[in-house]
Amino acid sequence: MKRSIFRLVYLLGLVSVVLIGCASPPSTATPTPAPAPTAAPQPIAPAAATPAAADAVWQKVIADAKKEGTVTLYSFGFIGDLGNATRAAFKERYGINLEFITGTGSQLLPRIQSEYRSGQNVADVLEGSDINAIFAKKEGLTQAYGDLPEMRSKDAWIVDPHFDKEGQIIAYTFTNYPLWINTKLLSPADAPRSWKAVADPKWKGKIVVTDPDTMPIPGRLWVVLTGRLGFSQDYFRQLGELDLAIAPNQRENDAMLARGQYAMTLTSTEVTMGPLISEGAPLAPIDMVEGVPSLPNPTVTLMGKAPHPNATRLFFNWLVSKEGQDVHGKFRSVGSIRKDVADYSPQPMRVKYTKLIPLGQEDEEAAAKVQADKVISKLWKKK
Amino acid sequence: MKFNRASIPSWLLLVFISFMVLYPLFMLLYGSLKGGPPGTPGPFTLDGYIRAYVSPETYSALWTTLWLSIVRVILAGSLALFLAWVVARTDTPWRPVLELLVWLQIFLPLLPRVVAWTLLAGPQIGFLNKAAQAVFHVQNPPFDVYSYGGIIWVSIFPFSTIIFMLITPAFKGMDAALEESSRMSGASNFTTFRRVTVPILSPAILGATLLGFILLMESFEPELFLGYGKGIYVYTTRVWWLLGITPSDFPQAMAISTVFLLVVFALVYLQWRLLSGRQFVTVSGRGFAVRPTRLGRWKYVTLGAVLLYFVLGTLLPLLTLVLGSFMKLWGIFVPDPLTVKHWERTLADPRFVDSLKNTLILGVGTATAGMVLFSLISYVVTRSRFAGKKVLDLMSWLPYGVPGLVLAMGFLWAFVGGLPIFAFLRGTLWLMMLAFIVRGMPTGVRVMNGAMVQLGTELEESSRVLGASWAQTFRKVIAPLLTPSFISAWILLFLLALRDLVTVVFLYTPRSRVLSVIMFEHWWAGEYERANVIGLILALLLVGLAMAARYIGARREIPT
Repeated sequence: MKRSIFRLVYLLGLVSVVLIGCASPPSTATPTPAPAPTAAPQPIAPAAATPAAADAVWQKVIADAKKEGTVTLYSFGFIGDLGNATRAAFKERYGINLEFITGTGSQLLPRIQSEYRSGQNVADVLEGSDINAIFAKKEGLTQAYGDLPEMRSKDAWIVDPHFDKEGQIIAYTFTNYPLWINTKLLSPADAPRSWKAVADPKWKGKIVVTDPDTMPIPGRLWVVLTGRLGFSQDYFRQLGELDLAIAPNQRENDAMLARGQYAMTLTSTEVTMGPLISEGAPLAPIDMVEGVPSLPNPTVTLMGKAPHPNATRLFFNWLVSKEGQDVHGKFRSVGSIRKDVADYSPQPMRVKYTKLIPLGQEDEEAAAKVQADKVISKLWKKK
Repeated sequence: MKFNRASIPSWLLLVFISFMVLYPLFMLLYGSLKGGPPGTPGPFTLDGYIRAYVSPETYSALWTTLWLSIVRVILAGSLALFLAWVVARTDTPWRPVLELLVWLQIFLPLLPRVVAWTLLAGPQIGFLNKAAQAVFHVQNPPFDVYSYGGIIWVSIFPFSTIIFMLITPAFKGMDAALEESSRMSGASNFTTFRRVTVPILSPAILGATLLGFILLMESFEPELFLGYGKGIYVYTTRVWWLLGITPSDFPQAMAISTVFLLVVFALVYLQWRLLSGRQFVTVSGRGFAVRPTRLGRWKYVTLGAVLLYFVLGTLLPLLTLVLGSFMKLWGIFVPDPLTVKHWERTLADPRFVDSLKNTLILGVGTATAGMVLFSLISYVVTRSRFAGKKVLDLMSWLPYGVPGLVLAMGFLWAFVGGLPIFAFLRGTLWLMMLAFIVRGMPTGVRVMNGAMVQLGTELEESSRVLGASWAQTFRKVIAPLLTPSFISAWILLFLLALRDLVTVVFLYTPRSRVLSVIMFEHWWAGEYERANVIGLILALLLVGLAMAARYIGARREIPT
């Protein structure tokens, strides 16, 4: 019997090895090369020579988009009410369906890679953090979105949606990163007004931050404070000596502040604080004298082998239009990247910051490296 | 060895199960050496394994996982033994109700449990801490749920319930004559429990404890929410981190998972060694007695203990979950904090009805098809002379060799990025069903194995002598005797199919969306309140179907 068991295991092993060999479809034998970062934009529709010609090209995009009939978004942000409202508004305007497959970046990216490499392309759009979009672009999974009428304007924007020079990523909203306080524990008048003052030992045990190993904001702070404002690493070490509470995700970070477990956080955003403040949580942003980091993010990206490229371009154009931004702002309770759209953020968040420090793709890549190298983790986390 | 035609169905079963298990596992192995799915450019490399095993963080996380799991399985296992004994072998009042109260816990998601204890025993805001500080005038809060103690405390309730569910059918099916003989020989109730009850039920207890141990090694939420911020890292939080970063470090995550494979091999070997050559038959051809042990006044103590267990383990998190679904912000007390809008908005979600329908099809389909398959596997493994039965047993363990997060990636690579012949399955509920059947196989087969070894062979032989076919014997004699265990495992499998997201998220499309996807959408977005609403709906659904399953099961049981 032992010999037959051995034979069976051997046979199964052999069959599995053969199957693995068969598993790679021929189309993937030649890997798709990643485009060089400096490559020129490759619009999927050629730029038109005159406004009239451009208009004609765009009308064709609309007609083709309607024939395609669907846009499939692999999305982190278009969920719940925002997803439903966006779907309904876009459908009403163009009769085109938006279909969402939702997940975190770490769930969606492997799925996209797998589908892309086996030729089973489902995704038209990757929506979510710019970090995922940058990664997808480097992997050669994306393409340029080309000429979009709404994006032509130079002065319609509070924050420019053109995220990258290759024209593959669009920032359809933005996020600021001030200091946040619990107003029941700390009045705005007593709160530190500069990043330097936050490291004062008197704040020991009063600050919560998100995990620098998994969440992106600490890395962004590092890039701004050390790279733009000239702070030394020692500043982050001093922060680490304040017994920082480390929250595993954004909501826990924000909830710990809102519940009054801690008085301050350095690692939150208007997007996540907005809903809490709207419901009456005692939270407020604090303007910092050195400046408040600001990032055009989240983003949308057109996938390289999108099954519905025209419908996707039409959706992108609509998303940055007045109508698209209005729907987005209303359902996410945030301000708009456009000047002509109302600010839907709750009143306590409508702070006019003295100085905004804009972040871009290079900063994001630097922040991702800080996170991967666990630079901050070594200074903040206790052994 | 002479080939036996009668063994052809067993061989076919072995080939099918081996393929379903080994194909995703080989994909994972391939991916760990290539750094990605099929088609990833570049050479094979051991880089992920080298990085994993030179890192002190790996060893630290594994050590923490190991000792935490051992401590918790001892505590949860002891608690489960006590509960099963009270419910199945004593004259404690209201035993059917108590059994149901213990069961209810399994239907609650883990997160409300964690949040409930955060609000009770959190160092800054915990109600128990505030009360203790006010009453005893102490300056420092006495409880801190963000600690090893907190993780252990929060985990032992749900895990003891799982072990309880798996061992109770065996406790119920045991002949009381054995215990009576012990007591007539002068042994006390405790000695009888220790020397007779536990040893005779050791296959079921061992199987359930090993499963509990593996499930505890895979435990995630308490460790993440209560330990992560305090620098307590375990194997699953490490894998979560490696897969959560962009780009995810899959090779290292898989490399760490190989330790888990070794643990599973060791446990299988241990089980084979411990159980080989011993008899565990407690259900035979003759009738048997189920008279309970008389506890006297102690029965009120056991009643109180089970009720306390219910309050701490079920009622508290249930109230937190219900309250959480009606609070504007869960766990955050703002002015005028209650609202029904989360229910209104969730039920008005246009995707809700289709997702509910898909969820029911997926849950019932997975649990039913899975349990039929697992019963066959278990029958072949425990009751046949099939040459490949040890390989089949090993195959049924293997899906536990890698954590759910990693195995989900294996399904993605195998069925979405792998062989083109599976293209027709992509995006369907069938594929998700197959994936869940593989994931639930170790649990289902272990439960059925525990029950099968209790059945004496004379029952089957009598039926065959009287002219019944194998199928008739299985359906009329074996199946009814196995019904309680079948139902327990059916519910666990149903639970897995309803709650899981890590697998679903790689395989679903808008047409096959299930409720867990919507629940986790809210969770990612920080909308815990709406996630609670779906959690409650799922819990109600589970309780309803579990009740129906138990009712059907009770009708099918052979009266003893």
